[in-house]
Amino acid sequence: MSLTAKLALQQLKNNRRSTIWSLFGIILSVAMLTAVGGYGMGGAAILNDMLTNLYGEGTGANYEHASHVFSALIGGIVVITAIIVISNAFRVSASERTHQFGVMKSVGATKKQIRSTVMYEGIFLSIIGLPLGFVTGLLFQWLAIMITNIIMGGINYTMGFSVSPILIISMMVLSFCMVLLSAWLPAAKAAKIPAISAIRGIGEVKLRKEKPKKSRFIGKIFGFEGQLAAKQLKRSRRNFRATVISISVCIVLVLASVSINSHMFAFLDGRLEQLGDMRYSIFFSTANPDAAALTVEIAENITHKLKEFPGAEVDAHGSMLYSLAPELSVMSREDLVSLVVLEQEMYNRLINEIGAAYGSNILINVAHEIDSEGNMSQYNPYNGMVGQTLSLYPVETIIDEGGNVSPALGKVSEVEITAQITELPDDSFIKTAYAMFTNTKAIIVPELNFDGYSWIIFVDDITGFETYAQSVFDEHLTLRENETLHFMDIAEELIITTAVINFFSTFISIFSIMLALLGLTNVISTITTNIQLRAKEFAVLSSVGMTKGGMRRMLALESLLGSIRALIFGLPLGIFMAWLVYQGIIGVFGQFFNLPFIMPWRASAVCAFGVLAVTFAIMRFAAVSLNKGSIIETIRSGRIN
Amino acid sequence: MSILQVKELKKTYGKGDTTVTALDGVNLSVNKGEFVAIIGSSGSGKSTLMHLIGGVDRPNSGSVIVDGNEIFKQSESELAIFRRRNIGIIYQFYNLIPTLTAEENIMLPRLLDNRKPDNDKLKSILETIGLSARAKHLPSQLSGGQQQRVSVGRALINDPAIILADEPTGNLDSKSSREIIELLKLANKRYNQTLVIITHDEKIALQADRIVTISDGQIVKDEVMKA
Ligand SMILES: Nc1ncnc2c1ncn2[C@@H]1O[C@H](COP(=O)(O)OP(=O)(O)OP(=O)(O)O)[C@@H](O)[C@H]1O
Ligand SMILES: [Mg+2]
Repeated sequence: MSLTAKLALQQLKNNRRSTIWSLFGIILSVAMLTAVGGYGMGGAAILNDMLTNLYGEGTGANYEHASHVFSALIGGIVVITAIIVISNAFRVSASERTHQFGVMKSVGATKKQIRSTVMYEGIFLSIIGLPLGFVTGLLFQWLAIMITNIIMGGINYTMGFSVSPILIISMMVLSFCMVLLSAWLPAAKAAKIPAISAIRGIGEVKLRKEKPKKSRFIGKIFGFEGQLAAKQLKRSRRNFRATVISISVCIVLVLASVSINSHMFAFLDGRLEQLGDMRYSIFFSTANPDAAALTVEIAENITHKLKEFPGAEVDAHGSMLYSLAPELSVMSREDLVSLVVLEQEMYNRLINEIGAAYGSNILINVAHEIDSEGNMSQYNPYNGMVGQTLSLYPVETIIDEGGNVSPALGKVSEVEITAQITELPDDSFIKTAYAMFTNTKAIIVPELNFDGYSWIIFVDDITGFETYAQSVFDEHLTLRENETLHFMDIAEELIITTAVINFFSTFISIFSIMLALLGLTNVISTITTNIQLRAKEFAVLSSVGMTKGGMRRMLALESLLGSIRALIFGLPLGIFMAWLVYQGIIGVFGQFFNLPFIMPWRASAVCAFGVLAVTFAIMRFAAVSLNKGSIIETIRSGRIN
Repeated sequence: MSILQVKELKKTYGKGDTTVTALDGVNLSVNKGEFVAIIGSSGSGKSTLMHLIGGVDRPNSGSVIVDGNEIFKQSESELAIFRRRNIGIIYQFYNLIPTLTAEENIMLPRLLDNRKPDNDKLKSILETIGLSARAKHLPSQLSGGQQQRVSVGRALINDPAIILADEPTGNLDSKSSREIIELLKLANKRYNQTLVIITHDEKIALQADRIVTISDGQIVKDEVMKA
């Protein structure tokens, strides 16, 4: 064993307290990384499965994209948090070690020797810490999965316990790098400053301009101890930065997860209301709108036949999707326009009701909106569109020789909007068309070459309907090439949607709790580290006559001021994150109706209160351990000069 | 009139085989205004005695009475308040608060008492210790001797009953040492300040009114130098 390795081992053995502290930090953060990573990946896989089952391949990919963005976000937060925890673990010994490296330098150690001592220390710590942390992490992951499965007991999906080798390796590498980095920082610091300054311990304290008024104000309320606290906070900002960051991360996590849950549940409520008492849908689609097997006459015949099923009401319409943008590459959701054709009888009823002439092109100017309680209301999204002529490019489906499907824009056509519906008629005659097209512009036209046609069936007792419907279609329609017919039980879809959302929000809640725990360990480690670093300072204060009560007041105010600073950073950041999450959710679900951003007021208030309470409690708790040793022993073994 | 009385003070460290008896029944009485030097070989128990008198450590048995108060009968916070008002401690390694400036460090015991910062007093102390120009500096920006002068200032600010100094010049060059001792002697003369100094420096010891020698945790010699 080389000299530097021996030195490193010696250091770990002799400085048992800080070795244990560092090991604990490493184990904890590796465990959290493993658990969060494993749980997150497992959950995302299941979610993707469920969504693909429900909405088919294409949409699955859409969700997958959202979940990737989400994983990257969470991964980033996990990594940052882990870096903070591990480097905190080293911070206690860091100032000591800066001093020690200064001494080593002064007796002639080269930079390289110091560096390699540090490297060995990191390696030794990792040999024990990484595997232990990994095993603990798997335990956490297993626990979280068990809890999820218990909560999700009702549905057919269970989360399995799986360990991905790639995940393990990347976690290990990441953790190892962080350990080395954290061990390395004090050495780098010692290397940078002259040996003698390292020995004298020129600190991180800086004088800044202070407003005397403010400090007098704090002094009036909190006494001299309060002023001391304020000074401490001002002048050793670096020590507090870690605390502020860790608390902010915690707040961001909580607000983001609250945002996910509230928006998802609002969506679910809205969707349930929107679908109302629809029970069954049949959807015809074709790649050749000009030569479709289904014509308006055939469609109306089928509708008549379907209505013969006992108790059934049927609502039917054909549609074709158009783009306002001339290029696919510049097309956004706002550019989409659906042209809709109703059955002749319905169209006539409609123009009668709104007093429009035959041949009118009627804009559906009603959309759904949902408030934070999940209540749905109607509103008119468009202004002044009647009288406009739109240039529309049909979104066609191109199927190449290999059978691959891709969209393309066809030849432009002009459509003038001549009338509009601003209120939904009470009876259901165009309700389904409206439910289908809300949140994309839709125009009801008298005639259309459609590429899709839907029948929505309302019926109390659905038994036997599917066989009946199939026989009707067999009789009236022979599908041509590139045409499909899709039968769907809406009630079932709703059950699955509910299950997916329940799973998702359970998953997110548990995931967030895990992350918040990670954040909390972080906050705990930062604050206790800070207090430990100042053990000697407290002892000196006590030796010149500060009472325990005074010390408590000082710490209380420190935690108050620190928390306030963290809240000033964390709350806006958390609300921004909540908004980002909201953007992600409406990116996926916004096609159904408008979902306004639900401001996490209550969660913010809970966060603010929680942060104050938690930091205060941790400070108190950490300070208790300080009072154990006698003053003079603390001063003698102290860490500051 | 005696301002400090030490009775049968005993202090041991550790347990079992490794027990060290640092103080083994020490009796001592110091009068107001006296300047006492405590000498003795390394490990004889001088610092231990001083820490007990200053109330920053607790004995196994025995008592310490400062200005009529039996300090170890007091609760912890009573003792803290007692320390800030009646005892000025100067350590070999200055022990200043790194986040406070020189003048803030000096004012510390007074401010802890929620008393008005007495600017005249601060000014005169800063002048006495020769740091008027450095009042707004942090400890890390001061030399060792300057830091020690700050801790002398801190010990003087509240006119304590006793000033205890544990090798206050152990870390300093001879010029700084002389300055510190002159400072302390000045306080002793001018304000009739009671002074207990631990020192290895014979020259310093010889300036005291009284020299107390400790060996193996016991007082072995107690000489009055001046009448
Ligand atoms: N915290 C402690 N734990 C164990 N033993 C201690 C402790 N503090 C002091 N001692 C022992 O008590 C004895 C007296 O120590 P003390 O510090 O009072 O000596 P001293 O006279 O001040 O010596 P010096 O002149 O070297 O400063 C010594 O033998 C020392 O080893
Ligand atoms: Mg000593």
